[in-house]
Amino acid sequence: MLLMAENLSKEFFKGRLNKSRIRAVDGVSFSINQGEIMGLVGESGSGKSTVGRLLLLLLEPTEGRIYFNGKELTRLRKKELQNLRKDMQIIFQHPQESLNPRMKIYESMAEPIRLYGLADGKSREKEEILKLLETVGLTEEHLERYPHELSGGQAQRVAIARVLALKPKFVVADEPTSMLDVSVQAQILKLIKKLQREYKISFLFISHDLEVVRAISDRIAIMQKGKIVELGEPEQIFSMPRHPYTKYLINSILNL
Amino acid sequence: MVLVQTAMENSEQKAKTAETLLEIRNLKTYFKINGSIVKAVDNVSLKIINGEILGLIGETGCGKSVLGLSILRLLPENAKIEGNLLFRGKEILSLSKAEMRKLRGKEIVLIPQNPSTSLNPLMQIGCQVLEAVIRHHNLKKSEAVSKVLDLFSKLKLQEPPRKFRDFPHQLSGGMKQRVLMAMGVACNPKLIIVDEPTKGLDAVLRIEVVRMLKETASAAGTSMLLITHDFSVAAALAHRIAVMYAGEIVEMGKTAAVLRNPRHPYTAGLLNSLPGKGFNPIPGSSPSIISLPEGCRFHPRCSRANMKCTASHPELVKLNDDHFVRCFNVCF
Repeated sequence: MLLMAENLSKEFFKGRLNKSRIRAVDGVSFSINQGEIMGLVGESGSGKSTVGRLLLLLLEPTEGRIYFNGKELTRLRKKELQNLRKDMQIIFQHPQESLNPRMKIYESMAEPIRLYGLADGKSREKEEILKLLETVGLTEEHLERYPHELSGGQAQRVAIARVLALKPKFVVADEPTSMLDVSVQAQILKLIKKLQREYKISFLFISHDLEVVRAISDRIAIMQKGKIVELGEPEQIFSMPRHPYTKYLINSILNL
Repeated sequence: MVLVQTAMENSEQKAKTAETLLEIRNLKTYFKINGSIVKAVDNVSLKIINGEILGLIGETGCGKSVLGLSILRLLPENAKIEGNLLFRGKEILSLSKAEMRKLRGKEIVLIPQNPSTSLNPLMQIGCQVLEAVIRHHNLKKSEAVSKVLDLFSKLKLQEPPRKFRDFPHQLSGGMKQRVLMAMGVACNPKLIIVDEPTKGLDAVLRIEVVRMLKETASAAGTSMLLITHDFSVAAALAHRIAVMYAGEIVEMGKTAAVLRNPRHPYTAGLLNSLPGKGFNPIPGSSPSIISLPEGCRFHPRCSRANMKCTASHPELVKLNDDHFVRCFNVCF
């Protein structure tokens, strides 16, 4: 087991004088094995993105514990956590917005490598970047461009390549394909599947698209109003949904 | 039995002779950018008959939204539109700006994509719908208000009087979509152009929007041009589907025929890249409209391409009575 969340909760405060509370995530527990893709599905506002951010401690949980690789993340000191960050990364929904618009793609890709000192010398750095580009299906000509000169699919590949540079063990993919066209979506999903197979990376794949999650996940968790209401293998969930909310979601799929 | 049959024949005949609402002939929309000419819509011809929903499918940048906006002449100054746009037999392209304004919002309506940026954030949503009603009907304000409230309750916006005074930021995405829909149907238009109505919506909202569009279309017999990249939305709503690639229509036919038996390799490729079919992306990416490939615009990505495809540009040919394909090596 690579990652485990135990009774994870997050409350946000809102309203005048922060007096009202919203429990965005409410006692969520699950685990992800090494090399496993866990799909997380729910409607907008169900708290699925918050779960993703909590797992990486990009948000501080109100309650609960997170274990990563046997260590309890919530109790680590800042410095220790920083070292672990290399192993746990995130891919966002809007690739263009997650790249610095004023940096050329080369600089964007060199950033994580330099931050963790993963290549000594310029030539090694370039070599590493070219290797990453090839893995995600881009070419050298893209390096001199700015993010706005890339298509959505290409920008998402760059975002994936940056994550890959750190050789992470766990990646949260937060709606990575919801802004992309179907044919480009298939390319990115294929790439994620390849990373799982070849690098044994585990994913939390967050999406509202049941068809996508069904196709890519090893297990699926269904979220409603901050709680996981059903968790299981795709075939079981789609052929024999147990929870009424899961049934409701599956019934809302538009069939071709 | 015989009676039923003749009734059916009658209705079929009616459908055949049904009036053409919109006819687009050889439409070309060009943009002048930095001295060069960009052909966003290139020689598109299509017809929409009364009460019909035509799904226009294509990927980002293929020109489908520009086609929709061309019909309404809502394009920037550097755009040039050529060809014929006949709405109920009358040429739209030669109308004056004032005449066009009368048509737009009353007879032809656009429901824009991205509901959150299409509403005025500083105006109560009721007043925004009211604007449309007052502009095109000769109603007193109080009558117009009750018409708006009526529309809201028809579109299942809860507590219409309260919703009337809400501002856009107080509504969810699905509700905003409904407000735009209310604006669209307020004047009983003949044709609604719906641009990506389900983009970014989750499955539950998506099916709700589809239901709403279906009800609107069948209740008032409104025709729609449904611009989308989502095959399942088109399958649920459209009578016919046109597939666009790099500014051109590459395939057009009855919904079931196009989806079950796609004849153009691009349509087949798109359907094959749906998540349920495993991961079979079309190789390469859509060409930039600024530098199109020679010959067939799809040939660099096409597995069926041969010498002929690189050399000459295929025309849209009729396969059978209602199915058109732009390809030398049609799939079977």
